[in-house]
Amino acid sequence: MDTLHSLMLGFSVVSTPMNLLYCFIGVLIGTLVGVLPGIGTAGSVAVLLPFTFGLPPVTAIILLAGIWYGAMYGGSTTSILVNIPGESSSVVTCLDGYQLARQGRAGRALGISAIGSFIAGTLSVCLLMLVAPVVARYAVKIGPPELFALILFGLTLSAYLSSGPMIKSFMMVALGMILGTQGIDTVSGVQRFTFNMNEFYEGVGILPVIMGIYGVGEILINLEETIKRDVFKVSIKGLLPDWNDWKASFGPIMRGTFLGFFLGILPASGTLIGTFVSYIMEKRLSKHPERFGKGAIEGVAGPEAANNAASSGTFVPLLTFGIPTTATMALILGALLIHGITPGPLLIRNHPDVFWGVIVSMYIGNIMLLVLNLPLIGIWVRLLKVPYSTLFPLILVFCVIGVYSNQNSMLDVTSMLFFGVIGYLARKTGFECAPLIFAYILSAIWEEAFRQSLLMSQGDLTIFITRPFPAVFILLTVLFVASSMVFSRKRSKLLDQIGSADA
Amino acid sequence: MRKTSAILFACMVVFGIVLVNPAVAQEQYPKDPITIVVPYAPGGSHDLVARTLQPHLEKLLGVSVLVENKPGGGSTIACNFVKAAPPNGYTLVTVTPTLSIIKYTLPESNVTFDQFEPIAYVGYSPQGVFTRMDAPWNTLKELLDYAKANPGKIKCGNAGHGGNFHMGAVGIEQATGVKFTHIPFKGAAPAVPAVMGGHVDIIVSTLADTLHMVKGGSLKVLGLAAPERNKFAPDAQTFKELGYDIEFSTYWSYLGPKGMPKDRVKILYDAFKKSTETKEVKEFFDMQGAVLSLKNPEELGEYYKKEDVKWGRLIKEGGLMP
Repeated sequence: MDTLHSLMLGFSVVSTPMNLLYCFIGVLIGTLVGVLPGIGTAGSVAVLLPFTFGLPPVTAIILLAGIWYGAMYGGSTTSILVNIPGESSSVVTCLDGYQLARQGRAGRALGISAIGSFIAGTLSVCLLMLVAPVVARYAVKIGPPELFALILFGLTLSAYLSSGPMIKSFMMVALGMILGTQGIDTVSGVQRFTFNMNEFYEGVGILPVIMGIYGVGEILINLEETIKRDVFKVSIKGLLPDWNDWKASFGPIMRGTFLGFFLGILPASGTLIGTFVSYIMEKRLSKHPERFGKGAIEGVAGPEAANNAASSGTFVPLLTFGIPTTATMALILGALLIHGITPGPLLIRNHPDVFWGVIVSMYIGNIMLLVLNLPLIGIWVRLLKVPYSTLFPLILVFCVIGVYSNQNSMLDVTSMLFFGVIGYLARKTGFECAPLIFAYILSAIWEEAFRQSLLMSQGDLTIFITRPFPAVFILLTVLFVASSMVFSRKRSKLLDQIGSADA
Repeated sequence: MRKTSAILFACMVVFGIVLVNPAVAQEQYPKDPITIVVPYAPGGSHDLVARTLQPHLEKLLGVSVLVENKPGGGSTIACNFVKAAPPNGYTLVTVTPTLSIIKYTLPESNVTFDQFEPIAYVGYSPQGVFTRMDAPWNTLKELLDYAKANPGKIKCGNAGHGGNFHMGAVGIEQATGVKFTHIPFKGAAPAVPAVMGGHVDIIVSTLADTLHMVKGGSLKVLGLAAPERNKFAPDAQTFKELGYDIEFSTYWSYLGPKGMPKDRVKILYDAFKKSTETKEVKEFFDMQGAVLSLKNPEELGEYYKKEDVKWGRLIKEGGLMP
């Protein structure tokens, strides 16, 4: 009853023409930011921040939040159409989304991703509203030892990211882990792989790596392939997902929502990790894991739901403790503070209009995004008719602008081109890059968590098994590795028998 | 023929210099957009302060002022960039105490304060010791007494080895004789949930980064390494009150490349000074638990010399040289 009453308050705050307008502007900018590769949310929010000083606080936050979750909608578009993620959180969507597009099912992939995003967005706002304060209290219990165990489990699953040979996948994981260590070490201050260049003190950024491997790498590979463009033109009809797509996607969307939301809450997680984990989970749960990487609609639905849910999840630590877990959240925190609003346990009591206003604006914003994105699908699909020779130089330009504008660094552009070549070579030689990126993101956090844990315990390794949470995950990891070893032995024995029977 | 043209050329050059040079000196300043380079990603306090000052500076200077983020390299990328920019008053950088620290901890970054022209110091936010709400200590004295009785027992989170907050914690150890176990995190943000969840006992951070959490009831502040108590956290003891003469802070100062014309430095300083006198900027500093306190270019130059001595000693004694 109380919640209902508060929701009514929220609706009354949002339903002024001005707030609705700013909500719409926010999600519109967000969609654009999402669609354009490399143009990130943090940069866009930073540019708009001074402009919001003159707005009422609720309106300002509605606008900035709109950009944040709106970008999650747009991010999948280029992933699906041209295999280039619009936002880093849409990397995983490339894996199956692009394959779907090549099979003439771009509209369906876009449709599932928009509707999945809508469902995830709306559900996760409900979660945010109902469980935020409780969950946040438990989320801070996830310290370095817990994080270490969680990531250890995640990394053992990373082989599932690849549909190719296991050994190549593990080699890419190793390369990703090496990349993840680059920079000045947080724990000891020692430089690793910096080549004495200031630009590498914090490692090569995630954006140049992703834009290089997926953006530039894709362009390079397309230069030599004379793709039959009519493949794309076959069935542009059937824009919207049909019943079979729905049946396949509903479970992944629901799982992706919960996974993304809860991983989004964790410090150091952001919106990217949830998408990877969702993909891995769907592949593991699927009866036909071999379809993944070849155009499985579940591989789009789950991760896209996860990144939208995570964008709501990141509001939990911000609103309940004032902890920003991403750069965009730091800016929204700044906007709140500038307007004299202190996020924290007392926020709901002291500024109910802001809290409920923003929550309700997120419901409404999600509806706006769906209405905005569904008709756009037709236009996006038609974009595929643009000749390659025109489309790809344009994409390259956007990649360069996006990567440069992120940190105003020319070295980032060079790094992107370098990783473009890596991505190209990897594709030519049958190595897949998703495990590399997954390992690259996780290993830095993993190593840090490991050493922080040991500092906490004065070097005592038992810290990982005396705490209940890490103990459970380490046990799961061991079971997982053991079971796959047993199974693979059984399988090879079986194969031997078949082989000898044949002979 | 060739000789005449050479003479003619020489004359032109000389005239050129004679004609152009006074024009340079008297050239109206500012007439082009001014860029303030922020060495950190959007959203940090240096970014926010620069963006809060921006509209006021624009009004006072009559040109656009751009805030450009050049993050990375522990602020060395932005510093090296501005150091190499033409010293014409159109490229400035906003820095933290890191500028004085990296001279010792990262000598190969080739960034030191004397490569810059001090313009203005607009204010600071004191560093302090923060802990979770249900921690057993309620005052700085209780914490220090416990720490003295249990050397190495207190786990102290910071925002990265060799960073400003780590150095602040080392400074506290050196002054009070306690011993912490330092646990570095990647930036200030992840250290906060770690202290809330009890994974570390205390963190060293600034009031600017944490005041909203103190006000919001999710962290408590035990003490500040400030010259006096802070009006926004009046209960927090200062180290000075307990007899330890230490001051650590994050400050907002603005520098340009070495060799800027003095008149341009003055124009910029006046604009910064007037901006900080506006209601909006005052309110913003209050919100941040930050103290508005101006230093003019000469005072700032002197301040940097003192900072250099302070950090040099602290880092050498702490055995933190590379």
